[in-house]
Amino acid sequence: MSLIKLEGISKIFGFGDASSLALDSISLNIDKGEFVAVMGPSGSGKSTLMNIIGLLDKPSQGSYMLDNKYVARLKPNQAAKIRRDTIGFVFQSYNLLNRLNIINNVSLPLVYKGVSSSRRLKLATEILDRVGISEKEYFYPNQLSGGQLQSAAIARALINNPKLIIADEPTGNLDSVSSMLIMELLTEIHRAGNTIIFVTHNPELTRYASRVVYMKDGSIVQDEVTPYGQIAKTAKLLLRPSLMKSDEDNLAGVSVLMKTIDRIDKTSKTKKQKKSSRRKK
Amino acid sequence: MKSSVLISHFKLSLDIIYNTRWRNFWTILGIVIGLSSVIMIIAIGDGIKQQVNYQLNDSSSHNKFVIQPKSINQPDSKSNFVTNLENISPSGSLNYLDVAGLNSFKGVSNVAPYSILRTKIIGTVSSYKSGVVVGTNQYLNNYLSLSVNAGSFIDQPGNPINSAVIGQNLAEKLFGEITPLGATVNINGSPFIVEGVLNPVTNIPFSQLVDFNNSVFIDYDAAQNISSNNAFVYQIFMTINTNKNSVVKSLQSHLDEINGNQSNTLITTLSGISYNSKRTLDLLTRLISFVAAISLLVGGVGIMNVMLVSIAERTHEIGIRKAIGATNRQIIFQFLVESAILSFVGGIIGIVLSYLIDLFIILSTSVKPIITWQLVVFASLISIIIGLIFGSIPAIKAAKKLPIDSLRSS
Ligand SMILES: Nc1ncnc2c1ncn2[C@@H]1O[C@H](COP(=O)(O)OP(=O)(O)OP(=O)(O)O)[C@@H](O)[C@H]1O
Ligand SMILES: [Mg+2]
Repeated sequence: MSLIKLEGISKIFGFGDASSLALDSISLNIDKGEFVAVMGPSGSGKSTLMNIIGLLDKPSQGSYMLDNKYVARLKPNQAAKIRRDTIGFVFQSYNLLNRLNIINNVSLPLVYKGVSSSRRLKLATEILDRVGISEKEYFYPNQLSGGQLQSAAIARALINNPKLIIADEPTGNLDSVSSMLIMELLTEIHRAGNTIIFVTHNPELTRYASRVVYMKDGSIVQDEVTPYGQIAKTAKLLLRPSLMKSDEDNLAGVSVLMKTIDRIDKTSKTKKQKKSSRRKK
Repeated sequence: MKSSVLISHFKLSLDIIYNTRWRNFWTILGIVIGLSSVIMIIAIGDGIKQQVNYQLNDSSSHNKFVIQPKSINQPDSKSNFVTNLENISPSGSLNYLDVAGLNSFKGVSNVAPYSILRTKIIGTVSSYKSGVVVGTNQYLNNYLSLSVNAGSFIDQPGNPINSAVIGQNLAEKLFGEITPLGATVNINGSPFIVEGVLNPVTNIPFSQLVDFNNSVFIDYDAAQNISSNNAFVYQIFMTINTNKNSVVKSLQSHLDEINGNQSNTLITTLSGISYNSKRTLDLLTRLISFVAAISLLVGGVGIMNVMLVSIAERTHEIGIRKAIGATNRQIIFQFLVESAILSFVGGIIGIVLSYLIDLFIILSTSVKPIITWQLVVFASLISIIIGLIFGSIPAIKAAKKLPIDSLRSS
């Protein structure tokens, strides 16, 4: 049963000559319980898509059904309630409030739900324990490491027990060990029954996903199901120059990604053409 | 909203306020300066107004009249009673009038000349080259609100002709004591005996009025004697109890006759003069209101600025809050609570500061600012409303945006 159903979603930024098409008529179904990785080069529209799925942004066109409700054109307050109750959003840059300590940050969504302060404290303590930073409850964000901050941000996303967790490059600012810890945390959450979508540039992390969606120029160019614990096939192509170490090597990696996706792109286009030609017949 | 949620908002606001002390310090400072400047300017204005009013009202009565040279009180003349006596040229004086003779004019009584002589005054401790000597008689008291602190006013029965009454400041300067009764003061070479000392007179701040606290009052004839008739008569006060109109008319024609049929003098009631002065007072009121309005604006802009500076920072925060599910109403409410707390704290400090400045002004100048509770309430309301409005502007602005647009600003 699909939790997310996107049909013909487009997003245009700017007006007139300065406008750019960030999402080009995207259709995508995600079922309950999936663990989806989204990959693609910079500027391909991954974040734009996540923001629309997370109701932080509105599509210029298309329909979006979340949990059997049409949500693309909601009033601000209705959208806020869905963000609060159904969606947990994790940002690359954590987006915690520096002026509040960790436990207040984590329990903030509950404030907006009207939960009493003692219950808030109890729930936040539980969830911080679950993400493994219970000893940092009364620290302020500037006193924590990146990994700990992201754990706190995940705890905040989890506190309302949302059906969907969206994480836009959750490990983008973290070293490899912290990245693994965060991904394992997400895996655990996934096992507990949540649907998770995450964006990553790191092919290694597709090991955690059950499905990988590849984007380019605002379109989805490849969509593959992948077994747990293994790097997705397409993503594996990116790892071929396997001794990536320096920045230059990283750049090389990116260009390989571009080429790979270009190739996929062409093949998918030819498929489409075949389909349409078939239809004509 | 449930009360527990209200309390949550309040507690979190306190937490947040504590964690942004520095920015909040500026916000509060803006409110404090805005509020206390408004209160002080209005209070000082009111104080001056009331002091002026007090001096004028005291002598405005229906049967009291005054003769003065026309040049100093034409109906439209800007100069008026006592405000700038010292600038009047001697040609405008009433010296040619037989002051004593006026007393026998039918229907006129209690005639008091008001003449001023600037001359040498010598006491035991110090002396003045050009002190102010007022030549008058016992009736002056009926027209100007002067009261004697010790001894008696001049020209009382039994007093010698060379008795003098001096202002308290001058007494202290000339003799080193406040009540030098019986001491001799030498005026332009003639000895006078101090028979009385005046109570301190409230002066009109910043006016060029003759300062009675620093003057000597002596008998009019004595003043003319010691100065070879050079004490200039600026005004002659008198009382007309019955048939006022006809008495004034016949007196006026009598004066014109003396004067070779030129109407150089004018008889008006004291309240008529006060009326003239009231126009000045009204002008003053308008000026004060204007200045107060400006200071209100300046104060408001100050508060506004501090609030607006933090908009970018706050917008990002609003983006985060919306992303995790806050509704626009909740965000606006939170910002209102926060700015209400800040405005309240700033308001209290501002009021306390106003009273401190008030005290300082009273102690160090002759101005007595009047801080009424109405003023305090009014000014506080204005500053709190401005604080609330500008404190919640970021929230109101961000409420119109998509969460992602607020998140992008930082
Ligand atoms: N607010 C905006 N205004 C104008 N253009 C935008 C805006 N946000 C995104 N874009 C454009 O939309 C396209 C997709 O951007 P998006 O941020 O979704 O890419 P991305 O795949 O997340 O890239 P990255 O991997 O670098 O995060 C880009 O061309 C970008 O320039
Ligand atoms: Mg992105």
